[in-house]
Amino acid sequence: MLKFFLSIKTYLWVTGISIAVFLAGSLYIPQNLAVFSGINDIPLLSWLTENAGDKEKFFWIYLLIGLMALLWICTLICSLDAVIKRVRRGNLIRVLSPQILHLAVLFVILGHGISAVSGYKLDVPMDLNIPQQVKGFSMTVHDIQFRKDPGESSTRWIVNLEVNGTRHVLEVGKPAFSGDVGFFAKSAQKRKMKTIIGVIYDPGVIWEIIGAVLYGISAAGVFYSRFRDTLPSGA
Amino acid sequence: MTGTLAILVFIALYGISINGGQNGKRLFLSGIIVHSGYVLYRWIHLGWMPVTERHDILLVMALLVAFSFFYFQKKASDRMLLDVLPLFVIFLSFFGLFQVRFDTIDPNMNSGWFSMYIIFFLLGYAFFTVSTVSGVMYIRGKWSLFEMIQYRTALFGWLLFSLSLVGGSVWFYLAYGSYWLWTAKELWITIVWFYYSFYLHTRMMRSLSGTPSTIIGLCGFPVIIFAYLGVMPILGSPWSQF
Repeated sequence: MLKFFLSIKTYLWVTGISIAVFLAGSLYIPQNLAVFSGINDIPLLSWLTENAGDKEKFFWIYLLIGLMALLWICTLICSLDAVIKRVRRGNLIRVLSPQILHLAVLFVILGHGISAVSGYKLDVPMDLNIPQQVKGFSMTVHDIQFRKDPGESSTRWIVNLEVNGTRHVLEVGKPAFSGDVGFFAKSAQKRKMKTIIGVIYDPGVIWEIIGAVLYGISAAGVFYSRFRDTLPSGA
Repeated sequence: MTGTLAILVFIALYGISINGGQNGKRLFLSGIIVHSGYVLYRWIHLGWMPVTERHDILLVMALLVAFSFFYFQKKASDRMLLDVLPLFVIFLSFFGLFQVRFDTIDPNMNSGWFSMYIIFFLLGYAFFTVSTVSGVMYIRGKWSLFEMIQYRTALFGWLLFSLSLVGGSVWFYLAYGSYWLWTAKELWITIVWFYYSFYLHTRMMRSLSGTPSTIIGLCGFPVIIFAYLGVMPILGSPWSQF
C-alpha cells in the first residue's frame, strides 16, 4: 500500500487524470451556465447539495475532490519519505526546499477544501444611514463618495461603513475586516446613493496564506539551489 | 498607426533573421532594439509599466523571450539558435499585434498585488517559452545540455507562475472577496500548473526521461497559449483585458 502512494507513477497517473477532469470541467461550465451560475456564490458543498438534481452535469467535481484527496495523501507520504531518507546527506536547502514546496501545496489544497465546506458569502444592498443586522453585525453606511483617477477606465467608490460601532473606509480592492469576516464594497450607484456590501467569511483563507508564505520561502530555496548547479557542456 | 508600424518592423527583422548566420544575428539584435523601443514608448505613453493589457503583455513577453538570445548565445551556435528562437518571438508578437489597445486601467487592477500577479505571470510564461525553445533545440540536435535547460527553465517558469497565482489570489480576494472561481479560465490556469508539475516529475521516471519527457515538455507550449489566448474566444470564459 505504502509503495503505491510512494510511486512516482501513481503521482503521474493522478495528475494526468486530474488534468483530463479539469479539461472536462472547462468544457462543461460554459455549456451549462444556467446550472453553474450560482457555484461561486456559496461554499461548494452547499452548492452541490442544493443542486443534487443536476448531478450528471457536475460528476467531474466529485471526481476532482477524490483526485485531490488522493494527490494530497501521495504528496504527504512522498515528502515525508524524501525528508527521512535525504536529510542526513546534508545540503539542507536543496533537500528541504522541494519538500516545503510540497507542504505549501498541501496547505493550499487544504484551504480550498475548508472553503468548500464552510463559511458564507452574502451581498447586502444598503442605503445611506439605514442600519442593518447581518450575521450578528450591525452595519450602517454613512457616506459614499465617487472619484475618477487619471488613467482609470471607470469611477471608483469609497464607502464609509460602520460595523459594530467601528468606522471603516472601504474602497475598490481595500476591504475591512472584523475578526475573520471581511466587508467588501462590491458596487455603488451614484444617483441612488446605494451600495452593495459583500459580507464574507472564508475560513480557508488563512490556510491559503500559510501555503503562500511557505511557497514563497521554498521557491526561493529551489531557485538558490538550482542556480548553483552546473550544466553539461554546450553545442 | 506608428506603433503598429514599429511592431511590423521588428517582426520583419526577426523574420528575416531566421537561419541568417552572422547577418541573422545583426538583424535579430536590431529587432530587439526596435522591440525594446516600442515597449519603452508604451511605458511612457501609458504612464505605468505596460503590463495591464493583453497587447502589451504579449509584446513584453516576446521581448523577454528574445532576450534569452544572450543566454543561449554562450551555449549554442548562432545558426542553431536563429533557426528556432525568432519563430517563438514572432508568434507572441504577432498575437500581441492583433489585441485591442485600451490605454486605461480598471480601478480593480490598480493594485500592488495585481502588479505582482502580472509580473510573475509574464516571467513564468516567458520561461515556459524559453523552455520550449530549448526543447526544440534538443530534439533537433540531441545535446543533453538543451534537455537540461528545458527542464530548468520550465522549473523556474513553474515557480514564477505559481508565485503569480499567489499574487493573483490575494489580489482577487481583496477585490472581489474570493480567491478562486469556477470558470473555464480558472480551470485552464490550473491545467497549466498541473501540466508543468506533471512534466517536471516525468524526468524522475527512467522510462520517460530524455526524449519522451522533452516531448511532454514541448506540449506545454500549446497548453499555455490556449490557457491565455484560447479560453475566452473558444470556450466562452468571461472577458478580461489582461
